[in-house]
Amino acid sequence: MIDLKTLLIMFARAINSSTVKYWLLIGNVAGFFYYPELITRDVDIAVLFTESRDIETLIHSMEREGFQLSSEQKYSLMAKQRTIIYLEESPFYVDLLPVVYDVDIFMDAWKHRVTETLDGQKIFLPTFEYWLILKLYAGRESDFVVAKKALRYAENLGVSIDYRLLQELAKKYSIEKRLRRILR
Amino acid sequence: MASSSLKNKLEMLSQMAMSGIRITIEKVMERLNVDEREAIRIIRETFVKSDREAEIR
Repeated sequence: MIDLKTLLIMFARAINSSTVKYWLLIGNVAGFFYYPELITRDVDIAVLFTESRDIETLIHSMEREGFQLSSEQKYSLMAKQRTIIYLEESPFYVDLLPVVYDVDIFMDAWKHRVTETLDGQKIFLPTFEYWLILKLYAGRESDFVVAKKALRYAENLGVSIDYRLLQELAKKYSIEKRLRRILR
Repeated sequence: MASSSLKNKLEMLSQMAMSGIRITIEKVMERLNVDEREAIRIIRETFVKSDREAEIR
């Protein structure tokens, strides 16, 4: 059975050998590095396709890595739609999220990204502040719960949090009310 | 705040996720009388169906 870590490494190897430049590990796997009480069953990857060959080379790289993609999955990617990528041997999956509408916030997070290396593969993560802002931007009820708990966890640990940046980003992306909700 | 011990943390997350799911797989195999591969497929599809909204668009 293929576990979450192996799935992430395999996907990172595929995307890093494609022409895709802009991608970020987001969601709860990224959040786990800041708030290790999260549990998840998927690897959320936000990706911005900027070159005409990006999608084609990503599909090719994923197939070379062992991901078997159906025509439906390929069409979905070519249409820059959310696509579930999986391996038969794993209950976990990659939730591949092409960025079409939220380009500004994505690029902002990408520019301030944290780069880690895992088994020789570069993994790009948002900083804690950007991770929080992305959660608040998504605005689902579960995101508020997780963001609030992660913030309390970091505060209790005495981790330095850039509240000024959080305020600035919340203003920039018109989510001040959402931020206030978790800062209370 | 990002940790340099990404590998260790990812290993921990992976083990936690796997230990929870292993029990579910065994139960599905037993109750539906299917092999592990089929149980994994059923569980994954259930997860995907319940995971409707994207964090970024």
